[in-house]
Amino acid sequence: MEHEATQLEKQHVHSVYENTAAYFNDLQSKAWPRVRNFLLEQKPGSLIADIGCGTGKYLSVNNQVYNIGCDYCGPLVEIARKKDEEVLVCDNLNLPFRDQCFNAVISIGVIHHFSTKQRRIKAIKEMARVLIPGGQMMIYVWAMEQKNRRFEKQDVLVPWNKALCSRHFSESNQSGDKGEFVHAVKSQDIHPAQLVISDCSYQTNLQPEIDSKHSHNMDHCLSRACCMKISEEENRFYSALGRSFRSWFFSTSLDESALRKQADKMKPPKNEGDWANSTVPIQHSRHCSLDLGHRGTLLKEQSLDDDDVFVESLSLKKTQWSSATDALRDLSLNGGHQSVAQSKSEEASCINGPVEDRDYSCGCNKDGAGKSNASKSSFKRTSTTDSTDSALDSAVSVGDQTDATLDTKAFMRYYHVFREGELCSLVEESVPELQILSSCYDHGNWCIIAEKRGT
Amino acid sequence: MVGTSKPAPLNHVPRSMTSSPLRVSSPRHGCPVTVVTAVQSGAAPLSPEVTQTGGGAGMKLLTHNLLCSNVRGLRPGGGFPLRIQASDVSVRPVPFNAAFVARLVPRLRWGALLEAAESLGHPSELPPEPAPDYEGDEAFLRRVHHVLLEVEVLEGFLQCPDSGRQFPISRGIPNMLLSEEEA
Repeated sequence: MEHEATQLEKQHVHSVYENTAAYFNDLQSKAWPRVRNFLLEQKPGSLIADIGCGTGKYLSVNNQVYNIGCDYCGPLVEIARKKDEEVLVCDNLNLPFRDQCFNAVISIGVIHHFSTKQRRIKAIKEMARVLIPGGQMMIYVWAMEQKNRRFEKQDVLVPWNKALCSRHFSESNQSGDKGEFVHAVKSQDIHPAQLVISDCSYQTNLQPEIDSKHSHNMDHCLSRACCMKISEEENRFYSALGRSFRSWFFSTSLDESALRKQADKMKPPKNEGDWANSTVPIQHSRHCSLDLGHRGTLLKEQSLDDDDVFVESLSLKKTQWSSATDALRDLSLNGGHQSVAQSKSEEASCINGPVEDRDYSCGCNKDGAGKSNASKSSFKRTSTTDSTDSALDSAVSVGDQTDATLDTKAFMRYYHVFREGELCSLVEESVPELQILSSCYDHGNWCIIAEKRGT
Repeated sequence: MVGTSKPAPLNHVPRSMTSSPLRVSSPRHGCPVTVVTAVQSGAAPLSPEVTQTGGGAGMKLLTHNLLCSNVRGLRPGGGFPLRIQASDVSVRPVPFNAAFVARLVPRLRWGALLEAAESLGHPSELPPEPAPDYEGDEAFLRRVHHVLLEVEVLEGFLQCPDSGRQFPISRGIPNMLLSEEEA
């Protein structure tokens, strides 16, 4: 199990972050307000660790304390270093710090990348180890329960869409077969498959900005219930996302597999691809709470607003969304059903993240059914490693037999999304050295603050 | 050990110093290099041993004081402190904040700090232990400030004292990842 876990994370966490690091720079400048407040509340002279710091956006929030950031992903850490942050590369599961040396630790959007319960526990325990007694830890993880909807399963593979993450396309970090993908995007003729919006990019890269330079905004925002004021620019972006197609793929949980004792069905992986083949059946669905049997062209003749600020660097035109993302795969492990729910783009919405002030309806409910096209598309049973088409070339349309592109698959990130109460239970049952002080739901995330026991 | 008994001038870095780092290239294995010249805008020419470049940030000794080896199977405490083998060290002024430094002092493994500073050729002129009244001693705090925050390792290795495993520092970033076998 451990090997499968590391392989899954290597393929669908680490290598994705490594290959997409160049695009994070821009949008990683925004910080969750609650996290900022947590950091700002720490006493001057404190030592604070950001475990899974990415490009280091939290490391400069409080300059009265000493911040150290660490991340598994070298390229992200390089970006942070260039911003003069104190950073290093390491593994959350094996932190290179001595016991009890930090006053506070934050883990924002990290633990949900661990693919087994044991590893998630170990990550939390490691962070507790380096906390001084009385020190506090803040953990943010993606919630299964999103506004108006929920993920259908807890273990998901979420595509990452570079086109909507970054305003600057950089070639320098691309290598090998990823280079094709970069060139495709640069052509400004965005292929529909690339416009698949990923939850992860949406959440991690696009967070409401609290600009400390504009203190009046900050005051205003803090007084609102949602504690975030979203700028006009972001509003437009969110509405653009809202009109865009979302899709995500589900994997089976490694924990589930273990519980079902289906180890015999899992071939020992010869390489990463094999692992994906044999144990990660991918079910495509538009929305978490699915109807069966709704099929149709996705987002046909839908266009994003031309005046969406974010569009400016993308030249998004009317695009024919393909049903590449219709590609369905059986849940081979439990011989489960295929389910597709498709509807027009208005129903599509961001399932995640800080989009509290837009009310997106779930298009796959009964209302959506009537609006979707009645055309049928064929379900495709494929493996994850079939396609070698570049993102640009594979113009998959309704009924097309080709797969979603390798590039799209290659950039899928694994998440274990947490149910309500799951994170708390995890800590209470398995990390007794921590005492939970508070927990809340914050824009698609479960958040807890816990304190290290002891005097 | 540093051969000279004269304090290295850079222990007292003027606040007005430019922000470009002063680079001290020392041979691997941390043989100390005597720094002979304090650099200010329009000051005397640099000694040949000191190069001035526009390099980026590096690992500070405060960070080093918190780091330990995470190799499996070490004796208790056997992973600390990591021995620094620096091939590229930079010195960069940081605004001095006495209260900030004073709060850090009790958190430090003092011996490891002194040892690290020595090994980088920046003998800290610090006592074997902080004096009881250190909080009010500005000269002392400034020396602590200097070694903790103004000396940076850009290239080199951190070596686990117990296992000998070397963790690289590249472009100022220590890489503490272990291979799957080591972890």
